Amino acid sequence: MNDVLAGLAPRVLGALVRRHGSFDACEDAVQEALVAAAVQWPQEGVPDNPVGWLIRVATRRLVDARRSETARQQREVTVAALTPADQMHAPPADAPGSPDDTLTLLFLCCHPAVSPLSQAALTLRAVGGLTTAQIARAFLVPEATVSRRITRAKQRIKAAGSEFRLPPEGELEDRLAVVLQVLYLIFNEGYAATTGAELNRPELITEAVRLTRELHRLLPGNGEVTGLLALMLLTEARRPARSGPDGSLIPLGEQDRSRWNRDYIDEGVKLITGALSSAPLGVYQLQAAIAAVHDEAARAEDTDWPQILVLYRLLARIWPNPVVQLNEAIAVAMVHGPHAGLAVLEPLVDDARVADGHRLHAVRAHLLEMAGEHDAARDTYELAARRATSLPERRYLERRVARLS
Amino acid sequence: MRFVLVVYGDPGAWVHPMFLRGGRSAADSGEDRPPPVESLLHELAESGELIDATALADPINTTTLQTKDAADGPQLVEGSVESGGRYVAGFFVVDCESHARAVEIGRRLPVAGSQAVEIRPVLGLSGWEM
Repeated sequence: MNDVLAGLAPRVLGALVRRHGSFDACEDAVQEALVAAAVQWPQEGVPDNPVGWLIRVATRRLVDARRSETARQQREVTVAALTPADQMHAPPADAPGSPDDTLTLLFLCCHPAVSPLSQAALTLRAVGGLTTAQIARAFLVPEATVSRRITRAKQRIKAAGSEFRLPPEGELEDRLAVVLQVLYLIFNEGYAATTGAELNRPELITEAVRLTRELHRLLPGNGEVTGLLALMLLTEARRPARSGPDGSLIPLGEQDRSRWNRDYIDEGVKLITGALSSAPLGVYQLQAAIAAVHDEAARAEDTDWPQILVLYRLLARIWPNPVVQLNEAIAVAMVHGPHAGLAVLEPLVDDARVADGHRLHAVRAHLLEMAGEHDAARDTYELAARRATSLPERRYLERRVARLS
Repeated sequence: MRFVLVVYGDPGAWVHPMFLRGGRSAADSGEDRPPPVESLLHELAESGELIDATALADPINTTTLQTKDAADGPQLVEGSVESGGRYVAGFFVVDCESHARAVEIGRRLPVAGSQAVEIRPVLGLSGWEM
């Protein structure tokens, strides 16, 4: 039922905004219609024309909202401007959706004037068709917080004077980069290894993959869109193997690879291979290519590290940042030995962006262990464990300390 | 990223540190506009960053379970673990984009003008494989 509804949300919202303008009010109305459908359809059955039903109910809500608004403000009644709900023309259920609406909505929700968490919340609601409550559960924040984020996002979009149409040609690439960032943020929120109580989070992965797939369908020739979809699939493929029954993290090198999802790997590899041979190189494609090299190794020791090193160096060139450098150091260590890897880490020790977190120390500890410097490795793992702000990561690092003690 | 801003108080202070008005009490200033902490809370709620804000009652009300001898188990005593020193007066839980933003929020708390405000990252329950 939720899947049916989710796919309809952008079509209904697009139709409403085209008709009545005011993205803000229409989005609220569609959300109410979706909630009504989630309650009514399981009891009364899915209507013959689900889109028409949703448009009718949402329009009614919109009219009601405008009525109470105008009454409140004691202004002239403007509802006459709205077509009566029953006369709304709704496309038949089997009519193809307006794919442009989904794209336009994605660009609108991922507006650069909005903060990333608000972009994500609004995208999940307006394009993904998730309810505020579902989004709140997935992000582990109170429902009121999500409501505020969405309201704030819509105010900002309105203030920025954005209209319901695709960004101009000259801005498309930059705006698309923001959309991809938001989709990746949603995916990452869901992917961070879950423990016990957080069973709701995979919903975010499903949603991120679904929306990226939709975007790929609309922009099949864009290498970065394809790259992001491949990256998600190739990462998600490893999920069944990356945590133990107790929620503990299992590093890539120790995962039971027979538990990886073959279908996702095959699809991801096919997507990234196609993109790399036809589109200009980009950061998502390179990350997907690295994930593909890992996923294609039957055993950890079969991993083609020289290939991974080449890819990380390319990535560092077009996207220089300390996290990429940390990963490059691991690849260097796997190809040229731990001391060479440690030398790559050296300049990062003074970089506040990584030196304050736990990752630099975790990688350094790992390389020191490889180099046989067990005392230094243990101390560094301990420092990394204390720096970690995630319980499973801290526990993983504590186990490494224990192993070396 | 989620942070807790821990607000400290000192036992000599009369006004609750969470409700200071730029370092002075509401009674001192003689104005009826809401104290700045309330407008800050309102702003953080609007931006979707505020998760929780809790002020703790005066430490005079504190009771503490303490175990001195494992055989006796925990014993309830009057007062705080720390006697006479600073005490925790309350906390704010925020979900914001970066540590820098959490510090910025802390800086704007009226209490930061006179008392210590600790910025502590919350230990998350999800993590990445390494």
